[in-house]
Amino acid sequence: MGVTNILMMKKAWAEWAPGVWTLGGQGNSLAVSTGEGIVLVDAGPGGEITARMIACLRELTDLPLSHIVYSHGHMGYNNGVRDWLIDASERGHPAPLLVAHARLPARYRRYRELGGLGAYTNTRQFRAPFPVNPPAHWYRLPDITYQDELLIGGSLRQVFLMHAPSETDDATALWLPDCQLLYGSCAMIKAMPNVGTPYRIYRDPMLWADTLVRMLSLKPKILVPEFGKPLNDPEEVREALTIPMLALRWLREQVVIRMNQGMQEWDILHDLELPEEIFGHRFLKPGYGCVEYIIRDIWRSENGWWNRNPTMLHPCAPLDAADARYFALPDPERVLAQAQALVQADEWQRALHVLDLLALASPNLPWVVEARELKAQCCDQRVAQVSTVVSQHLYKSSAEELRGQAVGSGVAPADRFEWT
Amino acid sequence: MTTKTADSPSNSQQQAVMTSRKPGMVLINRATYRDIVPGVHLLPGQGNSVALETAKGVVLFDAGPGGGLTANMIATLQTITPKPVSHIVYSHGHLGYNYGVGDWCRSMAERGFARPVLVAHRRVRARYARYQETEGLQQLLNSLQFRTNVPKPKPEWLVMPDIGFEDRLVIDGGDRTIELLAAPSETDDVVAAWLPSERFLYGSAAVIRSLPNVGTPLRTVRDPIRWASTLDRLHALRPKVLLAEFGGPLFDPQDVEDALVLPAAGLRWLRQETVRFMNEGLDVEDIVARIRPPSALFDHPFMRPVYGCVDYIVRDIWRSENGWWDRNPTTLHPAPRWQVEADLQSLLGSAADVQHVVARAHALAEAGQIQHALHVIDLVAQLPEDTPMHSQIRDFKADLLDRRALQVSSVVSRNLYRSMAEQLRGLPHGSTRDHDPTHGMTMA
Repeated sequence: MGVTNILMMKKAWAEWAPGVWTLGGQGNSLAVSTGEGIVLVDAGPGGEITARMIACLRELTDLPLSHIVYSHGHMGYNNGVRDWLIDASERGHPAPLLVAHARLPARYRRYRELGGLGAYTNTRQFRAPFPVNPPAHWYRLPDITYQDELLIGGSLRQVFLMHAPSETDDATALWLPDCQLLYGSCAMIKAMPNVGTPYRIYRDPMLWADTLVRMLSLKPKILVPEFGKPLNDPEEVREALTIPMLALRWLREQVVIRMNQGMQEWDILHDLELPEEIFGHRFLKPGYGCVEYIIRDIWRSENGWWNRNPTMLHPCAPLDAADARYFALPDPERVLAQAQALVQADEWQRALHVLDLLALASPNLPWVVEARELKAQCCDQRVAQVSTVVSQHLYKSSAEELRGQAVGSGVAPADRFEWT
Repeated sequence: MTTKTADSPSNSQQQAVMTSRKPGMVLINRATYRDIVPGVHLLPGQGNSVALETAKGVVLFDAGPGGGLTANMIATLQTITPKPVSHIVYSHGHLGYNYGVGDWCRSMAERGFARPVLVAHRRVRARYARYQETEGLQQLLNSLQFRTNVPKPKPEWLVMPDIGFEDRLVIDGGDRTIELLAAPSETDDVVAAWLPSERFLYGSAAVIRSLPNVGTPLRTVRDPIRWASTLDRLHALRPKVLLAEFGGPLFDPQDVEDALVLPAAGLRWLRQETVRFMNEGLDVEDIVARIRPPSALFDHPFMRPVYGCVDYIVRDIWRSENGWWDRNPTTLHPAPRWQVEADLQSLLGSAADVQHVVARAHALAEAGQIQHALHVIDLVAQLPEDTPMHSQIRDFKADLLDRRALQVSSVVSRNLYRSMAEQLRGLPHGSTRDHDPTHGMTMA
C-alpha cells in the first residue's frame, strides 16, 4: 500500500452540519462557515489535491476564507497554504489569517534545520522521495498562535480552537458548540494511536489520553476524525474517544509496573497480555501505530538511551565492533547455515538475529554479502507478518538498502507518491 | 565540617576546590561558606544549599537529603543567624535535594516559628508524581548510578511545594529582593536566584562548572539548546558573583564569564555538529565515533567531562530528534530474548566454540583493546547458563568492566561499569563501593 492510500483523502466534499464540510486533502480537511467567512482546517499538500479542495469549496460557497487553521505541524498537511492565498488574492478576497498552536513555529524551525534527516526518515517511512531542501513556502509560519484555546466568532456560529496535544504537541482541535461537532485533529484517528513511531520523536501517551478525556467531556454529537468517516452514532462517538484513552492508560500502567520490577524494554515488549475488550476493538486496529511502538515510547519517557548492557555504554564504532565480533566467530559459514535453516523453517525474525553476527560486518569479509542478501529476504518476509504499514515500509526500505538499491525503487509506478 | 569566611576573592579562589570525601558520593557538599555576599551563606547539603538572609527571615535553597546531613544544616544555620526560615526553594525536582523539607518544618515548629513556605517551579509537581509512580525504577537507576543502596522515595520525602511558579517569582524580604528565575537546564524545573542589588547569581542546576550533564545514560532526555538559552539569559544579568550548583562562588569576572558562556557555546557547537551529521544520514553510533570537539571550546577547567561527557550529549541531541529505532530492521520487532539466546546457544554454545570466543576476547584484552574484548565476549556472556564456565565468562566480563572504568572520565560511566560488574558477579549494586579506586573527583 502506498502513502497515497494512507494519508490522502480523495473523496469530494460532504456536509456534516449546516455550513460544515469535509473537503478531502491530507487527512480530513474541514471547512466551517462562520456566516461572514470560512474557517479552513488544513490547506492540503498543495498541487492537484489542494486545487481540487479549492474548486470543491467554491462549489459550496462564495464566502471569503477568513482563517486557515493548521491541525498540527507535520509536513504535508499545510504545504498548500500558498495556493489558497493566491486563490484568495485572485478572487479579490482579503488574505486569510493563518492560525496555529504556539508550538508549531518551533517545529517548523526544527524541520528546516533537519532537512537532511527529514529526507532520510520520510523517504524510508513513506517510500517516496522527500526533498532535503523543501521549498520555503512549505514552512509558511502562522500569523497568529494561541496557547490553550482561541475563539473565532461569527454571526452563524462560534468556532473554538482547542489545544489537543496527542500525536504532536501542537495539535489543534475544533469545537462547534451550535451543532456539537468536534473535529478531533490528529488526536482522533479511529485506530491505534501512533505513539512511538520508530523514527519519530517522543510522543506523550498520557497527554494524548488527557486530550481524549477533555474531548469526551464536551459530549460531541458529531466527531470528525483526522482520517476516515466522521461518526454521529452516540455509542460510536463515545467509544472512539474512550477506547484509545483506556488503551494508552492501560499500557502506561502495565509498563510502569514492569519497569518498577526492573524489567527491561526488550522483555516488556513480549510480556503484556492485552485485554481483548480494549485491544480487540475496531477503533484500535494497529494499521499505523501498534502496541510495541507505544511500549517503546512509554519506556523512553522514563529512561535514558542506554540499554543497560555495559558493552554499549561507550561502544566501538559500529563497523569496528561488528568486525571484532566477526573475527571471534569459530566458523562464519556455520552462522550463515543456521540462518538458512531458520529461513527454511519460516523463522525469519530469528534468522535476522542470527544473521546480524555477519551482516553488520565489513562487506569484503567472507559470507557477509550472502548474509546481507539473506537478511534482505527476511525483511521481505517480515512485511507480511506485521500489521502496521510503517513497519511494512521500514522492512521494505531496509531490504532495498541491504541490496544496494535506491529506497522506494520497489514501489509500483501507479502507487508512487509525490510530495508536491 | 569546616566553616570559612570569604574576606577576599583570592581566598574564595582557594575555597573553590572541593573534593568529595567518599568515592561515589559525588553529590554531597560538606563545606560551609559564610557571607559570599553579605547575608548569603552556603550550607553543607546535596549540592550547594544556599541560605539568603532577609529582614523577614531566611530564604533557603534546598533542604538537603534529610537525616544527619539536614540536621547538620539546621544546626549550622542557627550558628549563623537566629532568624527563622521563611521560604524553602527547591533548586530542582531531582530526588534527594529536598528530602529534608519535613525536618526543617519540624525544626521551625519546635522553635515557635511559622512553617516555611515551600516554593518551586510549577513542573516539580509533575516530576514528583512521576517519581512516586516509578519508585521501583528510580531506586534501580539511582542505585546503579550512585553505587549505593538508594531507598525508594518515601511519600513524606516528596513534599509538594506550596507555590509553583512559571517564569519568575519575586520574594520581598523587606531589606532585599530575591528574584527566582526559571532556569530549565538539567531538568525542566530548575530555579535560579538573583539578587539585583548585589548582582549575585545562584545558578542552581544550570551552572555546574563542568561539562553539562545532558544525556546521562539512565536519564530522560534533556534539551541542550534549552540549557544554552538559559545560560544566555543568566549571562545577560551580568552577575558579579556567581555560585554554581557545586563548588565555591566565583568572583573573578573572567571566571563568571567562562562559567556561563563556555557551556552554552559548547552545547550549541555539539548541536550544530550532530545535526550536520544527522542531515548526512549518519546513525548515532557513527556520530559518537566521529565527533571531534574543538579544544578551544572544550579544554577548559569549566568544561571538564567529570560528570557529563561529549558522547552523552550527542546521544541526547540524537534522541531529541529521532525515534527509538536504531535503524536495524532486526530490532524493529525483535524476537523474545530467550529465543534469541537459545539460537545463539545452539550456534556458539559448544565448549570448543565458547573457548574460541573467550580466547579471542582474552587476546584483545591483553592487547589493551578492552572495548573490543567486551563486544566479543558478549557473543557468549549474554547466555544465562549457570555452568562454572559461564560464571567464569561473566567474571571475565566484570574484570573488563573494572578496567574500562579506569579509561573513562565521567564518574557516571565509571559507576555504571562498576555497578554492572557487581551485577555480573552476583553482588548487590554498590556493595563493593568502598573498594572503588578514588579518582580525586573534584567539582572545581
